Amino acid sequence: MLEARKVSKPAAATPAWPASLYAKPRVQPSWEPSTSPSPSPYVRTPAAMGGTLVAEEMMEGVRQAIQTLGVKGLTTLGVTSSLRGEGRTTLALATALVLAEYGMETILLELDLAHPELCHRLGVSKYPGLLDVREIRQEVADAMHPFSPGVSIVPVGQMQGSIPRALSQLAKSELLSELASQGVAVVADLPPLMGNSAGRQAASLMADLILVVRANMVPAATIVEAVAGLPVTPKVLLNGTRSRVPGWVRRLSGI
Amino acid sequence: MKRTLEIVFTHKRLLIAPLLAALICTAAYVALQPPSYQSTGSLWVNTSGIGTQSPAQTQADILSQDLKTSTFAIAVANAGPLNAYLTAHPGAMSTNPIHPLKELVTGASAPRKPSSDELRAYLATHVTVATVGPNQLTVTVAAPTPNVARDTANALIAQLLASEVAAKIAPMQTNLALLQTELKDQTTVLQQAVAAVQKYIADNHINLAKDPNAAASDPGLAVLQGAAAEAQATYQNLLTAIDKVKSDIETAQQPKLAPFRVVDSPQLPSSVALGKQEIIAVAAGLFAGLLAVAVLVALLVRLDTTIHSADEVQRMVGLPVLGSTPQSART
Repeated sequence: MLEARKVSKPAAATPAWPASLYAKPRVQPSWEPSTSPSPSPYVRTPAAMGGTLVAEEMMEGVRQAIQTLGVKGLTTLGVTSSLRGEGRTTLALATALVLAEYGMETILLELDLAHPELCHRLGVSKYPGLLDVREIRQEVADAMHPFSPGVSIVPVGQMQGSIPRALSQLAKSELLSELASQGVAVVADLPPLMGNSAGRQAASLMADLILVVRANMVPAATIVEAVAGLPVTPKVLLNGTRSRVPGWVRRLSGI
Repeated sequence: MKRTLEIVFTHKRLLIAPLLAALICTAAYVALQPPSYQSTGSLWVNTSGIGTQSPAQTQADILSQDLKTSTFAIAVANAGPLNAYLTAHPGAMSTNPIHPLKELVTGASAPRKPSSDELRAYLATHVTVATVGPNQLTVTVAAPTPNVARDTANALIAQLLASEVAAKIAPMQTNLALLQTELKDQTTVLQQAVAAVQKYIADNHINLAKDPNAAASDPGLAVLQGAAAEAQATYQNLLTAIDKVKSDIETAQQPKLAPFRVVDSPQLPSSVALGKQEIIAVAAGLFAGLLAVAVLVALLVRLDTTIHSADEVQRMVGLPVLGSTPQSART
């Protein structure tokens, strides 16, 4: 019953906005199995929507991170953080775009049920969403909003009841495992781990976890506390590591 | 080192704040201080120095010592406009650094006559004596108005000259006083001797007009006349000595024999000078600001447990690292 709608191939897709807004040509990793011939560019929003969503140097950092992680056997990848404001949503989007560069059909799933902002930021319709699939028995394909070639967004949808209950129902539905079995990579924008139990509950649904740590923001003790007891050991993607030390000081101090 | 630098430049605004605050406070303090005008006079010292000291250094030491005496301070203040100015503006004598701020809030202090100690303390802090060569020294007076600065400097130099001359003629005057006392005594002795001769002549019915050589035949008269002559001679000697001492005093007071001469008279200053107190305040403010920054850096480094680089993740958190993105992103 659940069927993921195939996202249009990049070559055949009609771009949602002019091709001139597509940025860097795709870099084809040598190890990846993709046969996708055309660049799967990362996304910039149209100028009318405010400019670049994911900067090129951030994309480059995520590309290297995904290269380290490896895409083989990747099914569900949750992007979380210890606290809010560490760049989790942006990096989840970047991760989905990078996976699409590998030719993988990627679903960017919004699982931050308490503060969903992915759709708002990307200008994607909030409904129908993941919870609507469960509530009104819609097809998953109806909840998938094509965003860019190879990437679809699945928003939260209309939530009825509590967040833990919704997450519990998602776990029972085996929706994620079904998507995985169809060769779709699911990248989930998870809630932060600290603050309430939703973050941990959502993280437990994922096979792999990326923990976004914003440099110079979160104390190490908070990170340790946040990841303690998680079923999956998260791998850290450090965000915002650009040195604040001016170049001349670095040269003088020899660092 | 790298971590410390990262912390410093991450919190650069926070770190600049205390430095900026200190500088603003210092600037406000300097701005609140009464303006300071400086007038300088140059002196050429004619006398020789003491020991290995140059004449200018010796004279500078003398002036410094004079400035520590209330008598000298009062004389300078009364000779110039300083006494009147400080009477009208008693707040200028305050050594409290925040006194100008207090006056700004509560209003100017009521006029009152400065005490000798206050005058001495004021001059001690507002007069600078410096040697500029073996025989030349400068005297600088700082004051709240140009006229007070110049006129006080002139009064100071004049008083210094007066006190130098006074010091030079003081032994002569002492000698003069001694000689005058002796002269007074000698006058009495002489009068008594003359009276004794006259009495002897009267008692013995001697007529010196008829017998000018009576003394030769009268030993008693001869003794008395001898004593009177001796008293007269002593009296004359004292008069001569007194005249000589008076002459010496007059000579010592001649300008060409003064211990120094004024090469450049103090002029009316045209611009406000940065006083010693202001320079100290600026230096202290800068030092306090830098100290606060150093303390803040030490605190920040000690309290900061955040991750700054990928290699710190494994060390501080114990998690594997996938990579890093230089561009900051927020949800």
